[in-house]
Amino acid sequence: MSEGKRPGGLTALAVINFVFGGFGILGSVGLLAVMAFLNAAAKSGENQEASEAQQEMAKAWEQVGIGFFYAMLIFGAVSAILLIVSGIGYLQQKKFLGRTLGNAYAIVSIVSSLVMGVMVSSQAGGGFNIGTIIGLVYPVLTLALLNGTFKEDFTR
Amino acid sequence: MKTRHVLLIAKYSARYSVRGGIGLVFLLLSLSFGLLVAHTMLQPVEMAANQFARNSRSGDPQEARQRVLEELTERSKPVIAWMLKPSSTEPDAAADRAADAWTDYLLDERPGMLSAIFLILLFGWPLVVAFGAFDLYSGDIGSRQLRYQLLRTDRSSIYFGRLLGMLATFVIVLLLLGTTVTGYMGLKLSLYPWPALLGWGAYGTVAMVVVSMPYIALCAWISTGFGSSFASLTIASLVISGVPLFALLGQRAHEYAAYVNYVLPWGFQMRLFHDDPVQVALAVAGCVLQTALFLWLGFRTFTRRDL
Repeated sequence: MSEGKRPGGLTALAVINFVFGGFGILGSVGLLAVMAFLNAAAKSGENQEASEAQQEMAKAWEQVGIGFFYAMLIFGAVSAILLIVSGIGYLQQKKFLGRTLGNAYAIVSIVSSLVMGVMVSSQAGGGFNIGTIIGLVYPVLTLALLNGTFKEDFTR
Repeated sequence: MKTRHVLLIAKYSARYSVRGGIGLVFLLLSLSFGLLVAHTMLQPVEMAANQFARNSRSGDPQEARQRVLEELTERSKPVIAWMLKPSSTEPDAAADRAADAWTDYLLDERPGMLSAIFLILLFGWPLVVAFGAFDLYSGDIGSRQLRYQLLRTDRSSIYFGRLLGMLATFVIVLLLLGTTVTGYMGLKLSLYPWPALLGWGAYGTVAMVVVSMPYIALCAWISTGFGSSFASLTIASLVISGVPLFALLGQRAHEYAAYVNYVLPWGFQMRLFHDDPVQVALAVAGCVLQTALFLWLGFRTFTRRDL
Protein backbone atom coordinates (compact mmCIF):
# COMPACT_ATOMS: atom_id res chain seq x y z
CA MET A 1 0.00 0.00 0.00
CA SER A 2 1.10 3.52 -0.67
CA GLU A 3 2.67 5.12 2.40
CA GLY A 4 0.63 7.78 4.13
CA LYS A 5 -2.53 7.17 2.11
CA ARG A 6 -5.22 6.21 4.61
CA PRO A 7 -8.03 4.01 3.24
CA GLY A 8 -11.59 5.19 3.90
CA GLY A 9 -12.32 1.95 5.74
CA LEU A 10 -9.65 2.71 8.33
CA THR A 11 -11.14 6.17 8.89
CA ALA A 12 -14.59 4.56 9.27
CA LEU A 13 -13.11 2.05 11.74
CA ALA A 14 -11.59 4.92 13.76
CA VAL A 15 -14.91 6.80 13.87
CA ILE A 16 -16.75 3.64 14.96
CA ASN A 17 -14.04 3.13 17.61
CA PHE A 18 -14.68 6.61 19.01
CA VAL A 19 -18.44 6.04 19.08
CA PHE A 20 -18.19 2.61 20.73
CA GLY A 21 -15.44 3.88 23.06
CA GLY A 22 -17.72 6.68 24.21
CA PHE A 23 -20.54 4.22 24.80
CA GLY A 24 -18.08 1.95 26.61
CA ILE A 25 -17.14 4.71 29.05
CA LEU A 26 -20.81 5.46 29.61
CA GLY A 27 -21.35 1.71 30.14
CA SER A 28 -18.63 1.61 32.80
CA VAL A 29 -20.29 4.52 34.59
CA GLY A 30 -23.57 2.60 34.26
CA LEU A 31 -21.97 -0.47 35.85
CA LEU A 32 -20.90 1.70 38.78
CA ALA A 33 -24.54 2.77 39.07
CA VAL A 34 -25.55 -0.94 39.05
CA MET A 35 -23.06 -1.42 41.88
CA ALA A 36 -24.77 1.28 43.90
CA PHE A 37 -28.15 -0.29 43.08
CA LEU A 38 -26.93 -3.71 44.23
CA ASN A 39 -25.79 -2.26 47.52
CA ALA A 40 -29.18 -0.61 47.94
CA ALA A 41 -30.96 -3.85 46.99
CA ALA A 42 -28.85 -5.82 49.49
CA LYS A 43 -29.74 -3.35 52.25
CA SER A 44 -33.41 -3.20 51.34
CA GLY A 45 -33.51 -7.00 51.26
CA GLU A 46 -33.52 -6.81 55.03
CA ASN A 47 -36.63 -4.61 55.11
CA GLN A 48 -38.30 -6.23 52.03
CA GLU A 49 -38.56 -2.96 50.08
CA ALA A 50 -36.80 -4.11 46.91
CA SER A 51 -38.68 -6.02 44.24
CA GLU A 52 -38.26 -9.76 43.82
CA ALA A 53 -36.31 -9.29 40.58
CA GLN A 54 -33.92 -6.79 42.23
CA GLN A 55 -33.25 -9.16 45.10
CA GLU A 56 -32.74 -12.07 42.70
CA MET A 57 -30.19 -10.04 40.77
CA ALA A 58 -28.42 -9.03 43.97
CA LYS A 59 -28.32 -12.69 45.08
CA ALA A 60 -27.02 -13.79 41.67
CA TRP A 61 -24.17 -11.26 41.90
CA GLU A 62 -23.40 -12.34 45.45
CA GLN A 63 -22.91 -15.87 44.13
CA VAL A 64 -20.55 -14.69 41.37
CA GLY A 65 -18.58 -12.56 43.80
CA ILE A 66 -18.04 -8.84 44.04
CA GLY A 67 -14.40 -9.20 42.98
CA PHE A 68 -15.57 -10.54 39.63
CA PHE A 69 -17.90 -7.56 39.25
CA TYR A 70 -14.98 -5.16 39.77
CA ALA A 71 -12.87 -7.17 37.30
CA MET A 72 -15.65 -6.81 34.67
CA LEU A 73 -15.85 -3.10 35.40
CA ILE A 74 -12.10 -2.73 34.87
CA PHE A 75 -12.24 -4.87 31.69
CA GLY A 76 -15.02 -2.66 30.31
CA ALA A 77 -13.17 0.56 31.09
CA VAL A 78 -9.90 -0.79 29.63
CA SER A 79 -11.74 -1.87 26.44
CA ALA A 80 -13.27 1.59 26.07
CA ILE A 81 -9.92 3.34 26.55
CA LEU A 82 -8.24 0.92 24.11
CA LEU A 83 -10.98 1.67 21.57
CA ILE A 84 -10.41 5.42 21.76
CA VAL A 85 -6.60 5.25 21.81
CA SER A 86 -6.46 2.73 18.95
CA GLY A 87 -8.93 4.92 17.02
CA ILE A 88 -6.35 7.73 17.20
CA GLY A 89 -3.75 5.17 16.10
CA TYR A 90 -5.85 4.20 13.06
CA LEU A 91 -6.11 7.83 11.99
CA GLN A 92 -2.34 8.27 12.33
CA GLN A 93 -1.70 4.78 10.86
CA LYS A 94 0.67 3.94 13.73
CA LYS A 95 1.79 0.35 14.22
CA PHE A 96 1.71 0.24 18.02
CA LEU A 97 -1.00 2.79 18.76
CA GLY A 98 -3.26 1.54 15.96
CA ARG A 99 -2.70 -2.08 15.06
CA THR A 100 -1.27 -3.44 18.34
CA LEU A 101 -3.73 -1.64 20.63
CA GLY A 102 -6.60 -2.39 18.23
CA ASN A 103 -5.75 -6.09 18.44
CA ALA A 104 -5.42 -5.78 22.22
CA TYR A 105 -8.94 -4.25 22.40
CA ALA A 106 -10.38 -7.04 20.28
CA ILE A 107 -8.80 -9.77 22.43
CA VAL A 108 -9.77 -8.11 25.74
CA SER A 109 -13.32 -7.61 24.48
CA ILE A 110 -13.73 -11.17 23.17
CA VAL A 111 -12.30 -12.69 26.37
CA SER A 112 -14.46 -10.52 28.65
CA SER A 113 -17.62 -11.31 26.61
CA LEU A 114 -16.93 -15.03 26.82
CA VAL A 115 -16.06 -14.91 30.53
CA MET A 116 -19.23 -12.89 31.20
CA GLY A 117 -21.24 -15.45 29.22
CA VAL A 118 -19.78 -18.44 31.06
CA MET A 119 -19.31 -17.14 34.62
CA VAL A 120 -22.31 -14.85 35.14
CA SER A 121 -25.84 -16.25 35.29
CA SER A 122 -28.68 -14.81 33.23
CA GLN A 123 -30.34 -13.53 36.45
CA ALA A 124 -27.30 -11.31 36.98
CA GLY A 125 -27.46 -9.97 33.42
CA GLY A 126 -24.89 -12.41 31.99
CA GLY A 127 -25.21 -15.78 30.31
CA PHE A 128 -24.62 -16.64 26.69
CA ASN A 129 -27.31 -15.33 24.36
CA ILE A 130 -27.63 -13.60 20.98
CA GLY A 131 -26.75 -10.34 22.78
CA THR A 132 -23.33 -11.88 23.50
CA ILE A 133 -22.92 -12.66 19.79
CA ILE A 134 -23.88 -9.07 18.88
CA GLY A 135 -21.21 -7.91 21.34
CA LEU A 136 -18.66 -10.13 19.59
CA VAL A 137 -19.36 -8.81 16.07
CA TYR A 138 -17.23 -5.67 16.28
CA PRO A 139 -14.18 -7.16 18.09
CA VAL A 140 -14.09 -10.12 15.67
CA LEU A 141 -14.45 -7.77 12.70
CA THR A 142 -11.65 -5.56 14.11
CA LEU A 143 -9.38 -8.57 14.55
CA ALA A 144 -10.06 -9.77 10.99
CA LEU A 145 -9.59 -6.35 9.40
CA LEU A 146 -6.46 -5.31 11.30
CA ASN A 147 -4.74 -8.58 10.45
CA GLY A 148 -6.08 -8.88 6.92
CA THR A 149 -7.52 -5.98 4.95
CA PHE A 150 -5.59 -3.16 6.71
CA LYS A 151 -2.49 -5.13 7.71
CA GLU A 152 -0.15 -3.18 5.44
CA ASP A 153 -1.65 0.25 6.14
CA PHE A 154 0.04 0.85 9.48
CA THR A 155 3.26 2.36 8.20
CA ARG A 156 4.40 4.65 10.98
CA MET B 1 -17.85 -8.17 -21.87
CA LYS B 2 -15.19 -10.66 -20.76
CA THR B 3 -15.97 -13.24 -18.07
CA ARG B 4 -12.40 -13.10 -16.71
CA HIS B 5 -12.64 -9.32 -16.33
CA VAL B 6 -16.06 -9.57 -14.68
CA LEU B 7 -14.78 -12.07 -12.11
CA LEU B 8 -11.62 -10.05 -11.43
CA ILE B 9 -13.61 -6.83 -10.97
CA ALA B 10 -16.14 -8.65 -8.75
CA LYS B 11 -13.34 -9.94 -6.51
CA TYR B 12 -11.61 -6.58 -6.14
CA SER B 13 -14.88 -4.67 -5.83
CA ALA B 14 -16.02 -6.83 -2.90
CA ARG B 15 -12.60 -6.53 -1.24
CA TYR B 16 -12.27 -2.80 -1.87
CA SER B 17 -15.74 -2.00 -0.53
CA VAL B 18 -14.49 -2.93 2.95
CA ARG B 19 -11.25 -0.96 2.47
CA GLY B 20 -13.29 1.99 1.23
CA GLY B 21 -15.40 2.08 4.38
CA ILE B 22 -18.87 1.60 2.93
CA GLY B 23 -18.57 -2.18 2.97
CA LEU B 24 -17.35 -2.05 6.54
CA VAL B 25 -20.32 0.04 7.69
CA PHE B 26 -22.64 -2.27 5.73
CA LEU B 27 -21.14 -5.37 7.37
CA LEU B 28 -21.63 -3.90 10.84
CA LEU B 29 -25.12 -2.62 10.06
CA SER B 30 -26.42 -5.79 8.42
CA LEU B 31 -24.99 -8.20 11.00
CA SER B 32 -26.16 -6.04 13.91
CA PHE B 33 -29.64 -5.60 12.39
CA GLY B 34 -30.07 -9.31 11.69
CA LEU B 35 -28.84 -10.38 15.10
CA LEU B 36 -30.89 -7.71 16.87
CA VAL B 37 -34.05 -8.96 15.17
CA ALA B 38 -33.20 -12.51 16.28
CA HIS B 39 -32.39 -11.24 19.79
CA THR B 40 -35.72 -9.38 20.00
CA MET B 41 -37.60 -12.54 19.07
CA LEU B 42 -35.63 -15.07 21.11
CA GLN B 43 -34.94 -13.14 24.31
CA PRO B 44 -38.58 -13.12 25.52
CA VAL B 45 -38.74 -16.90 25.02
CA GLU B 46 -35.56 -17.41 27.04
CA MET B 47 -36.61 -15.04 29.80
CA ALA B 48 -40.15 -16.40 30.04
CA ALA B 49 -38.80 -19.96 30.00
CA ASN B 50 -36.38 -19.18 32.85
CA GLN B 51 -39.19 -17.57 34.84
CA PHE B 52 -41.52 -20.50 34.11
CA ALA B 53 -38.84 -23.04 35.11
CA ARG B 54 -38.25 -21.23 38.40
CA ASN B 55 -41.95 -21.05 39.20
CA SER B 56 -42.92 -24.55 38.06
CA ARG B 57 -42.39 -27.57 40.26
CA SER B 58 -40.45 -29.64 37.75
CA GLY B 59 -38.03 -26.80 36.87
CA ASP B 60 -37.15 -28.48 33.59
CA PRO B 61 -35.93 -25.67 31.27
CA GLN B 62 -36.66 -27.67 28.10
CA GLU B 63 -40.28 -28.29 29.10
CA ALA B 64 -40.59 -24.65 30.17
CA ARG B 65 -39.27 -23.41 26.81
CA GLN B 66 -41.67 -25.66 24.93
CA ARG B 67 -44.68 -24.41 26.92
CA VAL B 68 -43.63 -20.77 26.56
CA LEU B 69 -43.12 -21.29 22.83
CA GLU B 70 -46.59 -22.82 22.44
CA GLU B 71 -48.15 -19.91 24.30
CA LEU B 72 -46.21 -17.30 22.31
CA THR B 73 -47.11 -19.01 19.03
CA GLU B 74 -50.81 -18.97 19.89
CA ARG B 75 -50.65 -15.31 20.91
CA SER B 76 -48.75 -14.22 17.80
CA LYS B 77 -51.00 -16.08 15.31
CA PRO B 78 -53.58 -13.26 14.92
CA VAL B 79 -50.78 -10.69 14.38
CA ILE B 80 -49.02 -12.82 11.76
CA ALA B 81 -52.34 -13.60 10.03
CA TRP B 82 -53.08 -9.87 9.89
CA MET B 83 -49.61 -9.22 8.41
CA LEU B 84 -50.07 -11.88 5.75
CA LYS B 85 -53.63 -10.94 4.76
CA PRO B 86 -53.90 -8.79 1.62
CA SER B 87 -54.95 -5.28 2.65
CA SER B 88 -58.56 -4.57 1.73
CA THR B 89 -61.33 -2.40 3.08
CA GLU B 90 -63.99 -5.05 2.36
CA PRO B 91 -64.31 -8.11 4.67
CA ASP B 92 -63.23 -11.21 2.77
CA ALA B 93 -63.80 -14.60 4.42
CA ALA B 94 -61.80 -16.51 1.78
CA ALA B 95 -58.79 -14.21 2.25
CA ASP B 96 -59.06 -14.66 6.03
CA ARG B 97 -59.07 -18.46 5.68
CA ALA B 98 -56.08 -18.35 3.31
CA ALA B 99 -54.14 -16.08 5.71
CA ASP B 100 -54.94 -18.42 8.62
CA ALA B 101 -53.73 -21.46 6.65
CA TRP B 102 -50.53 -19.61 5.71
CA THR B 103 -49.98 -18.59 9.36
CA ASP B 104 -50.46 -22.20 10.52
CA TYR B 105 -47.93 -23.32 7.93
CA LEU B 106 -45.35 -20.75 9.08
CA LEU B 107 -45.83 -21.15 12.83
CA ASP B 108 -46.89 -24.79 13.27
CA GLU B 109 -45.57 -26.78 10.32
CA ARG B 110 -42.24 -24.90 10.11
CA PRO B 111 -40.00 -23.68 12.96
CA GLY B 112 -42.24 -20.77 13.98
CA MET B 113 -39.62 -18.59 15.67
CA LEU B 114 -37.38 -18.78 12.61
CA SER B 115 -40.35 -17.91 10.38
CA ALA B 116 -41.10 -14.86 12.55
CA ILE B 117 -37.44 -13.75 12.41
CA PHE B 118 -37.40 -14.04 8.60
CA LEU B 119 -40.70 -12.11 8.27
CA ILE B 120 -39.38 -9.23 10.39
CA LEU B 121 -36.05 -9.30 8.54
CA LEU B 122 -37.97 -8.96 5.27
CA PHE B 123 -39.44 -5.65 6.46
CA GLY B 124 -36.09 -4.04 7.26
CA TRP B 125 -33.70 -5.78 4.89
CA PRO B 126 -34.53 -3.69 1.77
CA LEU B 127 -33.32 -0.58 3.62
CA VAL B 128 -30.16 -2.38 4.71
CA VAL B 129 -29.61 -3.25 1.03
CA ALA B 130 -29.68 0.47 0.18
CA PHE B 131 -26.87 1.09 2.67
CA GLY B 132 -24.76 -1.64 1.12
CA ALA B 133 -25.31 -1.04 -2.59
CA PHE B 134 -25.82 2.71 -2.96
CA ASP B 135 -22.23 3.44 -3.98
CA LEU B 136 -21.73 0.77 -6.61
CA TYR B 137 -20.77 3.35 -9.26
CA SER B 138 -21.71 6.87 -8.14
CA GLY B 139 -18.60 7.62 -6.06
CA ASP B 140 -16.25 6.64 -8.88
CA ILE B 141 -18.40 8.42 -11.46
CA GLY B 142 -18.14 11.60 -9.38
CA SER B 143 -14.36 11.33 -8.92
CA ARG B 144 -13.86 10.25 -12.57
CA GLN B 145 -11.84 7.24 -11.42
CA LEU B 146 -13.65 4.83 -13.74
CA ARG B 147 -11.65 6.33 -16.61
CA TYR B 148 -8.53 4.51 -15.36
CA GLN B 149 -10.36 1.19 -15.40
CA LEU B 150 -11.77 1.89 -18.86
CA LEU B 151 -8.22 1.91 -20.24
CA ARG B 152 -8.03 -1.82 -19.51
CA THR B 153 -11.58 -3.11 -19.69
CA ASP B 154 -15.03 -2.26 -21.04
CA ARG B 155 -18.10 -0.72 -19.40
CA SER B 156 -20.10 -3.97 -19.39
CA SER B 157 -17.41 -5.81 -17.44
CA ILE B 158 -17.23 -2.99 -14.88
CA TYR B 159 -21.03 -2.85 -14.55
CA PHE B 160 -21.61 -6.58 -14.12
CA GLY B 161 -18.35 -7.20 -12.23
CA ARG B 162 -19.25 -4.73 -9.49
CA LEU B 163 -22.79 -6.10 -9.30
CA LEU B 164 -21.50 -9.63 -8.93
CA GLY B 165 -19.10 -8.50 -6.19
CA MET B 166 -21.96 -6.83 -4.31
CA LEU B 167 -24.19 -9.89 -4.66
CA ALA B 168 -21.36 -12.11 -3.37
CA THR B 169 -20.98 -9.81 -0.33
CA PHE B 170 -24.73 -10.10 0.37
CA VAL B 171 -24.64 -13.88 0.03
CA ILE B 172 -21.74 -14.09 2.52
CA VAL B 173 -23.45 -11.77 5.03
CA LEU B 174 -26.79 -13.60 4.77
CA LEU B 175 -25.09 -16.99 5.09
CA LEU B 176 -23.30 -15.75 8.20
CA LEU B 177 -26.56 -14.45 9.67
CA GLY B 178 -28.57 -17.56 8.78
CA THR B 179 -25.92 -19.90 10.18
CA THR B 180 -25.53 -17.92 13.41
CA VAL B 181 -29.27 -17.67 14.15
CA THR B 182 -30.05 -21.26 13.15
CA GLY B 183 -27.02 -22.59 15.04
CA TYR B 184 -27.93 -20.59 18.15
CA MET B 185 -31.55 -21.81 18.08
CA GLY B 186 -30.43 -25.39 17.62
CA LEU B 187 -27.60 -25.44 20.15
CA LYS B 188 -28.88 -23.15 22.90
CA LEU B 189 -32.65 -23.33 22.76
CA SER B 190 -33.29 -26.79 21.24
CA LEU B 191 -36.84 -25.74 20.36
CA TYR B 192 -37.09 -27.61 17.07
CA PRO B 193 -35.55 -30.76 15.60
CA TRP B 194 -32.27 -30.09 13.76
CA PRO B 195 -33.38 -31.27 10.28
CA ALA B 196 -36.43 -28.94 10.32
CA LEU B 197 -34.35 -26.05 11.66
CA LEU B 198 -31.51 -26.47 9.17
CA GLY B 199 -33.86 -26.96 6.22
CA TRP B 200 -35.97 -23.89 7.04
CA GLY B 201 -32.86 -21.84 7.87
CA ALA B 202 -31.34 -22.66 4.49
CA TYR B 203 -34.64 -21.95 2.71
CA GLY B 204 -35.00 -18.59 4.49
CA THR B 205 -31.41 -17.60 3.66
CA VAL B 206 -31.95 -18.38 -0.02
CA ALA B 207 -35.25 -16.43 0.06
CA MET B 208 -33.44 -13.44 1.58
CA VAL B 209 -30.80 -13.60 -1.20
CA VAL B 210 -33.57 -13.76 -3.84
CA VAL B 211 -35.39 -10.77 -2.35
CA SER B 212 -32.12 -8.80 -2.13
CA MET B 213 -31.47 -9.12 -5.88
CA PRO B 214 -34.07 -6.64 -7.20
CA TYR B 215 -33.16 -4.09 -4.53
CA ILE B 216 -29.45 -4.40 -5.38
CA ALA B 217 -30.32 -3.96 -9.07
CA LEU B 218 -32.45 -0.90 -8.23
CA CYS B 219 -29.57 0.61 -6.22
CA ALA B 220 -27.24 -0.14 -9.15
CA TRP B 221 -29.58 1.69 -11.52
CA ILE B 222 -29.87 4.70 -9.20
CA SER B 223 -26.10 4.65 -8.62
CA THR B 224 -25.37 4.83 -12.35
CA GLY B 225 -27.49 7.97 -12.64
CA PHE B 226 -25.66 10.13 -10.11
CA GLY B 227 -22.12 11.36 -9.63
CA SER B 228 -22.60 11.74 -5.90
CA SER B 229 -22.67 8.92 -3.35
CA PHE B 230 -24.81 10.98 -0.99
CA ALA B 231 -27.42 11.67 -3.67
CA SER B 232 -27.45 7.99 -4.61
CA LEU B 233 -27.94 6.90 -0.98
CA THR B 234 -30.68 9.46 -0.38
CA ILE B 235 -32.63 8.58 -3.51
CA ALA B 236 -32.22 4.81 -3.09
CA SER B 237 -33.41 5.00 0.54
CA LEU B 238 -36.29 7.32 -0.37
CA VAL B 239 -37.47 5.09 -3.22
CA ILE B 240 -37.20 1.86 -1.24
CA SER B 241 -38.93 3.21 1.87
CA GLY B 242 -41.25 5.55 -0.07
CA VAL B 243 -43.00 2.85 -2.12
CA PRO B 244 -44.70 1.05 0.83
CA LEU B 245 -45.33 4.37 2.57
CA PHE B 246 -47.00 5.82 -0.53
CA ALA B 247 -49.08 2.65 -0.94
CA LEU B 248 -50.14 2.74 2.70
CA LEU B 249 -51.15 6.41 2.65
CA GLY B 250 -52.63 6.26 -0.85
CA GLN B 251 -54.82 3.33 0.12
CA ARG B 252 -56.83 5.62 2.37
CA ALA B 253 -57.80 7.72 -0.64
CA HIS B 254 -58.08 4.94 -3.19
CA GLU B 255 -58.00 1.17 -2.67
CA TYR B 256 -55.99 0.51 -5.83
CA ALA B 257 -53.05 2.54 -4.46
CA ALA B 258 -52.05 -0.69 -2.65
CA TYR B 259 -50.81 -1.97 -6.02
CA VAL B 260 -47.98 0.61 -5.89
CA ASN B 261 -46.27 -1.93 -3.62
CA TYR B 262 -45.76 -4.13 -6.69
CA VAL B 263 -43.41 -1.56 -8.24
CA LEU B 264 -40.81 -3.14 -5.95
CA PRO B 265 -40.89 -6.61 -4.36
CA TRP B 266 -42.70 -5.15 -1.29
CA GLY B 267 -46.02 -6.33 -2.73
CA PHE B 268 -45.08 -9.98 -3.05
CA GLN B 269 -41.82 -10.63 -1.19
CA MET B 270 -43.53 -12.33 1.76
CA ARG B 271 -44.98 -14.91 -0.62
CA LEU B 272 -41.47 -16.38 -0.80
CA PHE B 273 -42.50 -18.01 2.49
CA HIS B 274 -45.95 -19.09 1.25
CA ASP B 275 -47.36 -22.59 1.81
CA ASP B 276 -48.45 -22.78 -1.84
CA PRO B 277 -45.49 -23.59 -4.16
CA VAL B 278 -47.20 -21.74 -7.04
CA GLN B 279 -47.19 -18.53 -4.99
CA VAL B 280 -43.51 -19.07 -4.14
CA ALA B 281 -42.69 -19.61 -7.82
CA LEU B 282 -44.59 -16.44 -8.77
CA ALA B 283 -42.74 -14.44 -6.11
CA VAL B 284 -39.38 -15.75 -7.34
CA ALA B 285 -40.39 -14.93 -10.93
CA GLY B 286 -41.39 -11.42 -9.81
CA CYS B 287 -38.02 -10.88 -8.13
CA VAL B 288 -36.13 -12.18 -11.18
CA LEU B 289 -38.18 -10.03 -13.58
CA GLN B 290 -37.67 -6.88 -11.53
CA THR B 291 -33.96 -7.65 -11.20
CA ALA B 292 -33.71 -8.01 -14.98
CA LEU B 293 -35.64 -4.76 -15.55
CA PHE B 294 -33.56 -2.69 -13.12
CA LEU B 295 -30.33 -4.26 -14.41
CA TRP B 296 -31.26 -3.35 -17.97
CA LEU B 297 -32.17 0.21 -16.99
CA GLY B 298 -28.91 0.56 -15.05
CA PHE B 299 -26.84 -0.93 -17.87
CA ARG B 300 -28.50 1.43 -20.35
CA THR B 301 -27.67 4.47 -18.19
CA PHE B 302 -24.12 3.29 -17.42
CA THR B 303 -23.17 2.56 -21.01
CA ARG B 304 -24.56 5.87 -22.32
CA ARG B 305 -23.46 8.37 -19.72
CA ASP B 306 -20.28 10.43 -19.53
CA LEU B 307 -17.84 8.74 -17.18
